[in-house]
Amino acid sequence: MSQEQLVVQKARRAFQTGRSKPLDYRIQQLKKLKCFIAEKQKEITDALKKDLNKSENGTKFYELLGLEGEINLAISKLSEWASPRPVDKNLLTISDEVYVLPEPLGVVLIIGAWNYPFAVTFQPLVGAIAAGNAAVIKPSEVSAHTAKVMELLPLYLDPEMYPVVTGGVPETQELLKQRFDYIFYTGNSTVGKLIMEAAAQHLTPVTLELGGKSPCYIDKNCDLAVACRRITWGKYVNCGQTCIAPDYILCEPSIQDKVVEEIRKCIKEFYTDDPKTFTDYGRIINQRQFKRIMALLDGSKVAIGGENDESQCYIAPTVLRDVTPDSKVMQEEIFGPVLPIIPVNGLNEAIQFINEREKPLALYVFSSSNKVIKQMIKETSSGGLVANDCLIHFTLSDLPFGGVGNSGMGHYHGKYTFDQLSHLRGCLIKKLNMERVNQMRYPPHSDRKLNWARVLFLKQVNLSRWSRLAHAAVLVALAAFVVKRFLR
Amino acid sequence: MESQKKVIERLRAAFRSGVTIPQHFRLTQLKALLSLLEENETQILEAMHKDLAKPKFEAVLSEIDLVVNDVCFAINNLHSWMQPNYVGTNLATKLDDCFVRREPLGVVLIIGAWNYPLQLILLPLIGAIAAGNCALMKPSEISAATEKLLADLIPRYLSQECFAVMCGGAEETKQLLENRFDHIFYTGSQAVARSILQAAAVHLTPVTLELGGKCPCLIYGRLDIKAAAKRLVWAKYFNAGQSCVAPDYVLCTVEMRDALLPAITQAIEEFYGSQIQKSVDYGRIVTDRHWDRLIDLLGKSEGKVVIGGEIDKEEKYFAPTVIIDLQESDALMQEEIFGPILPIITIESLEQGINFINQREKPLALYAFSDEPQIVTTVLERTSSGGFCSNDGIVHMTLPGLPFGGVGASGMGSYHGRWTFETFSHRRGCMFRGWGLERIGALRYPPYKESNLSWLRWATTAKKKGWGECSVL
Repeated sequence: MSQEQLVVQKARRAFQTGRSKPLDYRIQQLKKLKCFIAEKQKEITDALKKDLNKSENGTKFYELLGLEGEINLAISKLSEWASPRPVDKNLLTISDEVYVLPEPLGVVLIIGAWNYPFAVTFQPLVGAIAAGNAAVIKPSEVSAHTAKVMELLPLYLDPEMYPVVTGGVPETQELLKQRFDYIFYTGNSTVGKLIMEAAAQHLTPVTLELGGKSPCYIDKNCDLAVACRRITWGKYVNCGQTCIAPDYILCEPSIQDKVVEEIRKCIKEFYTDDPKTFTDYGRIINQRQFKRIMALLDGSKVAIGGENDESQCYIAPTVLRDVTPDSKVMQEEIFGPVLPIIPVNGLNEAIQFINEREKPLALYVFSSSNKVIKQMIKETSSGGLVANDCLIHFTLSDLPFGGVGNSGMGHYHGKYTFDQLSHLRGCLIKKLNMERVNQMRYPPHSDRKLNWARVLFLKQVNLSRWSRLAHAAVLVALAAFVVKRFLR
Repeated sequence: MESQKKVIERLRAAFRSGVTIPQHFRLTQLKALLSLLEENETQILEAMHKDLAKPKFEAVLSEIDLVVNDVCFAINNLHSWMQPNYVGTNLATKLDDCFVRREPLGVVLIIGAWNYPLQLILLPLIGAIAAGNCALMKPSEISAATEKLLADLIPRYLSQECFAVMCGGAEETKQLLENRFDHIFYTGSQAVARSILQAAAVHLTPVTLELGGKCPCLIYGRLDIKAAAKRLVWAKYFNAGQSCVAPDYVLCTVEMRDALLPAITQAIEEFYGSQIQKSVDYGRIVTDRHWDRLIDLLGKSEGKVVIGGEIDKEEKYFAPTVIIDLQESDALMQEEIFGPILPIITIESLEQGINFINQREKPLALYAFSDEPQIVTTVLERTSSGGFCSNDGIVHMTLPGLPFGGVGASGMGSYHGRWTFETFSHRRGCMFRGWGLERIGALRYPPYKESNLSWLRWATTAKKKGWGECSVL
């Protein structure tokens, strides 16, 4: 038996003991997760510095802040999320209990990514724990130092219930041969397809958080200075290695120069004249990615940046101008600090451009006109959309975060993670009484019976209307009583 | 006959044109669907009688009325379903509009099954239309008369640009699956489901799989035997046992079994008379092949038939049958029966019954009969299944408020009522940011300062109350 097989078997046995079901246990585990992040903060920030040259504050802000928020939310809302959710009844079930009951699925596999290793590996874990599941955690081997720190998780959490499995492709493939009750994957579309295919063997449902080229349309009618600040921030955070980074800009030729200048100003403001030596500017994760991104620059005009250093996996914040749709940089998700600007003649052309391509994970539109924004939202599709900013929708736990089409399936954050990793079981709790009413549905059948059954079985009941009627009836009776008794 | 590719291209072009998006279009199509059902009730009943000898009562309630109800539910609620859900914001996003928008997916594929040939195509279609999609329907070729009727009626009532019916068998379905869809909704068996998932993986298409399994019926404790037997018999032999949520087998103690058997016999006689084959209220097995399968299963079984067992190959008639003294390893316990054979397996304790259930794949439905609420609660809490119903069978699926679907081997995803609408929608998280509050916004820009971090932590966790929550229902 392989190591992976053993780990999954152990997790399943742990789940079958039923100890992850009580809410107290789940809350306790979530609190321990919080402890882990607090107590190992130094190890975590060091690891991220080594993997992605993320600064200490950068890590706290982009990895840990959101994660803490999710944990706190889950702890405070768990009893609400896990409670039975009553639904409407029909006349026949009016005296029965009808509700949706969230239940754990069993053993969940979480496959993380390397760009925000803590955020994308542990945020799904929060939901998995909250929903009462066991979870096998497979951090990305590409962010090797962070994976090493994640191996410390079993010191805090129930080690059998939440094991961490490290390793590369062979270990992941071995894991995927095992049977899980859910697979949560963050990564790219190519591997996403393989994951779904592997899941098909066991009829395992999946959430795939993938990527794509997230377009960013800048309307000529907007506050360009603020727009470019937000775009610059969104693009170069983590050196562009963000699944929802604005991948490319669409704007009219008349404003291209101004856009370039504004971005140049912001780059200098955020990352100084020499980003290479600046602590808050990151690095490309490894040489393979570095070479891939550099190759994308072929054939395009560099307006800002372009400086690079392979030995450090450093690429300066770069902007390309007058980029054409067939250029290399437009053929795949950039996932790096290179920002192409493609001139288009207005909103309609931009929308057409976007719709000719796969549905992206995020779509950004900058405009002072609500009309423009509304048209963009109506005529396109994307995982999520932000008007007049970038990335920030990721921080709102009440918004479902996920893709559509090629950018993924399923979504999470906040209650969405809980629901995604639960089985929402429809429950009808009836008693064996009121059997006379049931006579309507039993054979032998007559047309008269059929007519009654049609009414009883299927018409929806508006309970509030019934209770209003009941209240009205009581009031009328009371009034009648009062009149009769006191007001002859 | 239009080729598959041409049909799909036509639907895709229609979707791209945006014609399915406006609420008015969706309502018109739903109302047309309602007319289809109301104006063709006789033909529908005839077709289902041809396919399954479906008794009129069953066909009316479980096929026509169920669908009519769901269409009306969709028509009445469509406007509210289509509204964006505004969500809570934090201090940093206080001046922004944050909401979830339901958007259509595109062109969806609905593959039906033969046992409820109308319902299993039309219920998903309702949600697909309501959500603003175009849809290609592939009814089961096994229920041939209904397949033909749908192929004839749908184009007459619904927009031919946006909705199409494709007929054919396994080969045609395989070819169909090579195309790209934005969602695939499949009702049927686990074996086929695996190949559907694999085909979907190629295009990263999300799927809903409504499968089956062996739905256990645990009968335990103090109970009104007569009432329980009636409900059990009704649910089991409805559509001659060919329901994905039929109670597949019973678990109870020996004493309970001995008390139940006469009650079951009596219920069967009350329902179908003493000459069951002559009763118009009892269905038939769908094809010779399916009938042979049941005969084969019964033949391999080592149990003892105590009720029924009569058969008639020409009519594909199979009497309501009860069989006892079976072991776990019996042929009847290895696969979903999907026919009018009810095994009763005896257990010695509730615990044993629960373990028996948990050692098997999660079923589509689970039934617990008992007048003791504690027993019902214990079974509910200690097991998992697609849906759960106590003291009755099948009826939980008539409630559009309940999500109808499986878990584990019995399927993924759910539908009925608003759940179908959600299945065929993309929930797009949207944020319209204001241009102001840039000072708070600026806290996030590099160079990253510790002090900014504290402010941001405070600003992004303080919640604004009273905005309403975003939820699935």
